[in-house]
Amino acid sequence: MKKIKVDRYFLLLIIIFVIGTFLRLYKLGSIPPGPEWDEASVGYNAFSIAQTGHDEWGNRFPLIFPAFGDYKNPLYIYLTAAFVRFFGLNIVTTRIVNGLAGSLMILTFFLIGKLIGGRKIGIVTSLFIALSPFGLFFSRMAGDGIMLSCFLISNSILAFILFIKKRQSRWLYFFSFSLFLSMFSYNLARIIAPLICVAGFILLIKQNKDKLIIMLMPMLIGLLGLVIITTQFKVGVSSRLKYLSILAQEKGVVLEVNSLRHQDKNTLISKILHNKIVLTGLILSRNYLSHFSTDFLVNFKDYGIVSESHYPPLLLIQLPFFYLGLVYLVKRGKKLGPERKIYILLIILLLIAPLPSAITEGAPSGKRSLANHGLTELITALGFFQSINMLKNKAAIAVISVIYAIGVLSFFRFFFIIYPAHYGYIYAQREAVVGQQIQKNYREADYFILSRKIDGVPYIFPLFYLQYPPKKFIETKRYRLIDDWFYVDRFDKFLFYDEINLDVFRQNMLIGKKLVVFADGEEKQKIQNLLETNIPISEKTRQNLPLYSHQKTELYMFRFIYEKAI
Amino acid sequence: MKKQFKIPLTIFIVVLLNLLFKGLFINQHPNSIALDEIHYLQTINIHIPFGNYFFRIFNLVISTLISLTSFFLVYRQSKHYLLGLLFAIELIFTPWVFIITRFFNWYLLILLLVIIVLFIVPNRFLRFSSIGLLLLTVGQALIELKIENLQYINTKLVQLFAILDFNHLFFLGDTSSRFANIPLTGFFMYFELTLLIIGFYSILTRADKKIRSLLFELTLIALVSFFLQKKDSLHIFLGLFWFYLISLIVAIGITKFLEKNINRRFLVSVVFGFILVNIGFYQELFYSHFDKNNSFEWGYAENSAISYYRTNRYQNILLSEESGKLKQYLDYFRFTDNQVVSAEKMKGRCQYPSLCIVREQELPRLNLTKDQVKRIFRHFDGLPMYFVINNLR
Repeated sequence: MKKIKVDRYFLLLIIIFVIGTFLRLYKLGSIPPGPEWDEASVGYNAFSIAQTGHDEWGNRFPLIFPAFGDYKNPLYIYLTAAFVRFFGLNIVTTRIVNGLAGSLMILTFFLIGKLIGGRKIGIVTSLFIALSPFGLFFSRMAGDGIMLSCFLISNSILAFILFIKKRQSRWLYFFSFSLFLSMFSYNLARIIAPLICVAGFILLIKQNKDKLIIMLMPMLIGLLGLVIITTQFKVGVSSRLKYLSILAQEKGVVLEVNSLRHQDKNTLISKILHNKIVLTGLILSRNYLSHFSTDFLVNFKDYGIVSESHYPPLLLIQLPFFYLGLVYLVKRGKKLGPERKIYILLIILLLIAPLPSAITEGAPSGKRSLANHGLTELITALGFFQSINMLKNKAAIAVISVIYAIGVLSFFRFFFIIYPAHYGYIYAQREAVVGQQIQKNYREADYFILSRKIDGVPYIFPLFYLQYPPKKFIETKRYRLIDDWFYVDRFDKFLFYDEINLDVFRQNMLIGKKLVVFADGEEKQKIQNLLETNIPISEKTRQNLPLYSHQKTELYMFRFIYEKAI
Repeated sequence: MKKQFKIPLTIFIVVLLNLLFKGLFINQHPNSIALDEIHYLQTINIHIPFGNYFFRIFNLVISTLISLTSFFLVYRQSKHYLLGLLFAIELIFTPWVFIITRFFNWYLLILLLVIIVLFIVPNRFLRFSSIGLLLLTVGQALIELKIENLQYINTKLVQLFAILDFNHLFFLGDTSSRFANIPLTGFFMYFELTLLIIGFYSILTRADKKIRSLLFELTLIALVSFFLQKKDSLHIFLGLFWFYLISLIVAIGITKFLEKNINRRFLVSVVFGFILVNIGFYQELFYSHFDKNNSFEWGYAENSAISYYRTNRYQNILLSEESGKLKQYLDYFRFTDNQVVSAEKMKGRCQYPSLCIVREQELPRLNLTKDQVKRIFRHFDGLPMYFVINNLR
């Protein structure tokens, strides 16, 4: 009988891929808890597209989704719409596209690693990605197509390498098309992708002058993407940059400049040394460099912020390998030959990846610098193999592996046990309770009253949890537009207020109706006073115990028939 | 140049530059004495007269010796004169050395002793034993042997990576205290980042064995020294040996840069022009803004109060319970006619030659407003600290 020979590297890759996919999809609906408001918005817009071909505001197959006024990118929503269409709207279908993209990145980077350093490097890179804290965090969130855009960018890098190696023009199309798509998945790609596209063509143009026409076509694809994005710039990117950009936050810079000049009595030298350009330049440089710094790479934990990683990108033991890998990458980039271009493009990606984060406030941000996810792991793997070559000591390798395994296990303990238990509150756990109560009481209640104190955009949760018919929402909603932000005040049975006070109960339309009122800790007292003194009620349900409570955030629910106006 | 002139000339240049750069206006900047300095001086039982900051010359001498011995150490190890010279010069101009030289502390002395041991003890085992012994002995005052559990090591590691972060190294400096923090300046200058990268790259790719070995030894010393210090020490002390090590890597970077680009005069001039601008930038920040921004830490209001007390020949001073910091200054400068009493008990006692000082939060208890006090001692930034009250009934 003929013996079937199994390639052990292939087998290892399959095992790593299965583990990586399992880690990304296991309990996808509950770790992290959710959906938080962006996820709910993405999910509902996908649902709306799947049902009607329109978004929540009635736009037919839009290229940018206005959502709350934050203008969400379309690709993730359209891909999610396909899953929602077949499997219904829920947290898992909302998150699965990022989960799958994160899993597929394991394969993409195996190929990249294999092509530049051999199969061993490919395997170690894929292992590092499969177990990467950033990989797990960002594959399990659906606030935007973060992981999807990284996957597309990594595909473009793979295509570039394949073009260099195989000289087939289809890889050039694949390179441009991946970058083109990435620009519609997450805002960071709108900065990264054009730069990669231009860098790629500059690197290739010298040796491919005879193929100029072939090269122009993919370039045009990239250009088309840029043109579309430019038309969206006014509504989309600019509205985000307005709030996030460092240049928009010039108040602090001006204050600092004024303080320094005041101390110098406004001399000419002071004006030359202390001005907005110098200080903003320093802040930008600081932000940029922080992404390569030890504090970010092994200490970074962005607690309390939704859609951010609560764990640093690298485990402690990986840090020296990362820096060593950087040296190796630069060294290889200096060598001659066509493969040099591959290393140069990798270095370019590494250098431009932090830009979206560096120009925004709150840098370093794991989310906005995620374009080098995968590349960081590849560099670490390169450094790891360099060290092995230097050490040539099996015992040392075993010790390193054990320390790495301990680091991974410690991360898993945090990610699967501590994180969902302690940080659920930032993933709209309170709003999830509201959603469940709305589902339960929808038939009986005449009106639901919610305030924006419980959530800034409370309207999205009933839509998500009830899978509310999009057409009905478009017809019945009333809203205001303030500072490019949509404030939905009511739709169907739902009334939304900035806060719940006496004025809310002065409306005649509420008389004789069954009301369900949700309140936070502060509003609860007001409503209890009203129930006891001012409002004549035939039935009231007092809830002295909160439905949800975490530190100072609480949720109370009141159900009663409102018989007479105050 | 003949060898017999080369070394004396180097010594002369290094000493001169040290004295000129680090010693400039040492008696005036910082313009007051910090409480931390007082604590260091008290520990070794040294008392200085009020208003005289010449004791900082001690640090200047030590710092100059560090620069000089480092030249000899690296020159002997590498047989590379330029590297040794540039390292010595790096240890003159880099901000962490500059700022630690400008206030009294004994950490520089420890660094000097370690460099001397590295220089004079030939055997590696002996070197490490003596350095270990030195760190442990001196450490009775600064070392807390409190490695209790893994959590402690973890906390220290987090702290180490925070201090060695690019942000802290090149932009923020010592964030544990503004007392040793020049505004907008890190432990190193901005341009040194590029040289650090060049230095790091050349060490990994083609440094000679002896320099690698020296770097390895320094790394071990830096690690031991870091882990043995209290976690609430100033970052500049915690990272002292690390900064020394990084300075050596920067010096290697400058050397490699110069060796490779010696014929590209324009490039070299541009780089050196940039270096000079960078030095000028942080020096301006030190001389014009450092003590103004950090006047709280440097006890500017306390120094003003003592100066007023002395100039106006008061005979005793009554301090409120909230004025504890001022009391520490008075005790150190041996103005012992001071007494802490509650603000209410000052009534009827605040007449010349008695000086009564209270804090802002105590004024309401005395039915006084800010306009009714005789004098206010403020920090440089205008923040009122102490209020002189008079004829209180």
